[in-house]
Amino acid sequence: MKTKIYFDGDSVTYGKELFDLSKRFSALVCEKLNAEEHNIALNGGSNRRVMRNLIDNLGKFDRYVIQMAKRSRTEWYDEDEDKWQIVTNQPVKSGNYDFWKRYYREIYHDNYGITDELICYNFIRALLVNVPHLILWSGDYDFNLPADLVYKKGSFPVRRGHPNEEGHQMICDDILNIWR
Amino acid sequence: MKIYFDGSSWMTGSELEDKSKRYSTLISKHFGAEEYNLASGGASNNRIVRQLVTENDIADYDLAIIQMSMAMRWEYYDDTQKEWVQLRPITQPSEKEHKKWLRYYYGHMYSNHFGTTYEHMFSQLVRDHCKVKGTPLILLTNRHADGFKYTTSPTNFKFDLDISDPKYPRERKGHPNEEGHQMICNDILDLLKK
Repeated sequence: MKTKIYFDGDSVTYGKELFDLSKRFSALVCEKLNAEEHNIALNGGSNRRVMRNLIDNLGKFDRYVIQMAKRSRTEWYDEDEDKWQIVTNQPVKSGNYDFWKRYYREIYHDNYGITDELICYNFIRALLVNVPHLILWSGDYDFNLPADLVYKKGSFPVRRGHPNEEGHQMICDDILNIWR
Repeated sequence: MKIYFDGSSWMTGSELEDKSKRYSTLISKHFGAEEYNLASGGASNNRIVRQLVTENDIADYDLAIIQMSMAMRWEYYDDTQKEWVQLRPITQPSEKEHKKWLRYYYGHMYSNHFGTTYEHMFSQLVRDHCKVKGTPLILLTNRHADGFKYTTSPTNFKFDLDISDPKYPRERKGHPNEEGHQMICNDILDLLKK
């Protein structure tokens, strides 16, 4: 039976800006390992979403690759639409625009985000303690947690803001190097 | 021996005249242990998780007894006061605009589905974090304590003990009385024997 690998994160793991999603790093890793790819990453995804998804998917996969998202993001459950809505600091697609604009202007503080990020990191490590897994992070602010792979701005070639094909190949190689 | 306690007013011993009768103190006395009680009235599950994961090393304790609070509560960091502020439906923010904002949140954004999902998520984190750190845990809830102020929906998630069970006698404002605290203490000791 094929190894099943779970991937979650935001637009980086989703493969935003790639013309061909078979070139995203999750697909490349799975191709190399002859594994089944299960990628549920979402553009604008938050660490809260990553945590929520992980609970639902524990024990179902052989390996997990989790990309932590921008710490300022969050989510809320929209009962009218019956779905979880992503919330970014440009909350145009989040629903309740004025509410979230005010949240980022008056309520949210980076101390909250840093704390939430640390909680998420510990959450992933604790839930996957006996399961092969990797935590990766990509972003443009200081990130001091001991993730397995950390990509600060400029670490890989991008197409606008997201890794291009070459960038995805680099991430794939880094993952395979660790798993070797 | 050191015991870590966290939770809400139910763990602070709210409404007790003599706080040494609260169940955390009774349990600590039973074991001759040092009581480390971080509970606070109005605490959210976010606060409980933050204190457990980011501000303390639970590996330094021999036992953790954590009481999860109402799912509707949450918190934010107030940079002007340099403190974490607990939010709940009855919170009265000082600034008018914040009040409006909070009312909108509970009126239009918050749902039981959200609350229950996050309650489950935080509870699982508490369990797994303590397990990884090798500290035995008793996980309590008072999620059914006040159905008027706080709506809840059923959850499949299992707690070790529901201390909002009406079998524990209460004071006028709804917190356990001395007898209730003694009963909770006894039930926790029974769980620990198992």
